[in-house]
Amino acid sequence: MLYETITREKNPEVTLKTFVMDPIPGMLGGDIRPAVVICPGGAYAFLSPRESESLAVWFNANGFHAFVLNYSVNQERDSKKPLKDRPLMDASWALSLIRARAGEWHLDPERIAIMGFSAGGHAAASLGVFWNREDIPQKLGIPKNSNKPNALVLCYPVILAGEFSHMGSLANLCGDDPEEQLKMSLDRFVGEQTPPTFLWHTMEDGSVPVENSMFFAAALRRYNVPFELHIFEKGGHGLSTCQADVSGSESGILPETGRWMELCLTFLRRQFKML
Amino acid sequence: MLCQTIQRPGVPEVSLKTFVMDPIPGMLEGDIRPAVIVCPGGGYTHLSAREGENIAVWLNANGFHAFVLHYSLMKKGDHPKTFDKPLFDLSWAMACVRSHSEEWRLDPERIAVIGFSAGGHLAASLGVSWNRPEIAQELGIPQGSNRPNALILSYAVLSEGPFDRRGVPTRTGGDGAEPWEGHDTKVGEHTPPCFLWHTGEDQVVPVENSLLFAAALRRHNIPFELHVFEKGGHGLSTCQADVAGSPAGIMPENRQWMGLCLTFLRRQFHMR
Repeated sequence: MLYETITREKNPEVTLKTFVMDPIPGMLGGDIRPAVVICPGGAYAFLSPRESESLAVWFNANGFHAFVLNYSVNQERDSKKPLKDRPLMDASWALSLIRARAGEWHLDPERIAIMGFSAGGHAAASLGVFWNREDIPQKLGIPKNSNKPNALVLCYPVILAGEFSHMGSLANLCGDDPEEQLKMSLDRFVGEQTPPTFLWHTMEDGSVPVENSMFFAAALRRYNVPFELHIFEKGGHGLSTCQADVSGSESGILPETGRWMELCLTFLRRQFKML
Repeated sequence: MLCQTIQRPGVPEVSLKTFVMDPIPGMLEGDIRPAVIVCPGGGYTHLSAREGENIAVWLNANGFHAFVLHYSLMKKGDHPKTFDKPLFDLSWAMACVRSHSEEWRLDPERIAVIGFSAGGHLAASLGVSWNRPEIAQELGIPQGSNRPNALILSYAVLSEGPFDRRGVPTRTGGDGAEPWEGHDTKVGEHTPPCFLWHTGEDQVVPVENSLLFAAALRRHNIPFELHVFEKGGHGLSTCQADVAGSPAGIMPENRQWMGLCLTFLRRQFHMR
């Protein structure tokens, strides 16, 4: 395992933790692995430790390299100083950096997914819809398209402004102006550039309404982007792996909802043509 | 994650790699985790990369701290029947992990060993021989500090049995001229709960190794589970493509050992 923390020079509170597996010689699929970048949730105000390392090692155990992106957050929850594009730029930086080191880390630069939980799902989805904006490579000094994600995994994501929005996340990101928030209502920006997407949510989510995933899926459908959407009946917001080790209470242990993990692996393996 | 390599003092080829998870505050079961030491297979001639790190991260993903032990391998002149350096290596590793309980936030009474093939032989040797007084003396560790709290034995080399005389190839590693000393004869009340799995078709280490060991556990009323799958050869590891050298190694039905194993460990360790 290559485990190290890479700091974003311009912005030292932004880091990328690497969970890069040692190569195993002689395997059927070769020793070049796909990779997943994980964006923890936390309402764009903090980064949840329940949605970080435990997901990275799970991907490792299933043959993927993994990375945890600690992106910019609005710790003071001050909507007068919104984050704006910063998480999107952080995600672009991470994708571009990983792709540039594909040879060194034995990873396939065309099989890099980005996964996000709750507000981290918003950060991941924002890269999925905005990665081809021309100002991004200019601002970051990275090659064009080097920030493109090859798949999205969105776990109870924040997507929408307006009626179904998660107000805290949107205020921390965009401020209080509804017009500004609408610019980050991501279903509106889905297009042919958006990569294949796996979404899951719980119907009972009392924090981020299930419409966030449903409307994003409807937009993907409109543009014929391959997707899967799994809505489970039971469980509140922020279930992570639905296991006891990331549960703060009994209600967080939900094996039936934990099936999202196998479904997600099946989807990613199909997109990435893995055995 | 705390990822570091700890060398065994005075034995430079032996080391322990740590996969110690960061604590998460506010969880239902607190932030003290159980732990598992992983012993890869390789016939005591090498250490398989297919049964190390990938097993550690799987355990991590299920709430356990994990450690991968690189133990001593046989050199020319080492005799399979008397070769017990790895037992000392594993005893050192167990005592080392236990002595770091507080620093690493792990429960010193919930430390298991998982071993594959020859690594399973090693894990079982600790399970049956940890209380030999000369081990603690020679290593300078407290008596009992090398005791495993559970064993996971995956297609393990374990016993001498009648199958030897049928001419079936039974042993891996070494010169093979003389059999290992069977572990089944040394099982006793000091042996911890054991989970075993094997495939009936294993042509390298016959399933009798697990069957006879399980019979010995039964005789001594040691809690155990044994799962013998019909299909599949030796050394399947997680039965997934990322550790398969050929299509025959991708066996989703045998992969069920992993869920069964977690259920067993969680029950022994009173986890949710």
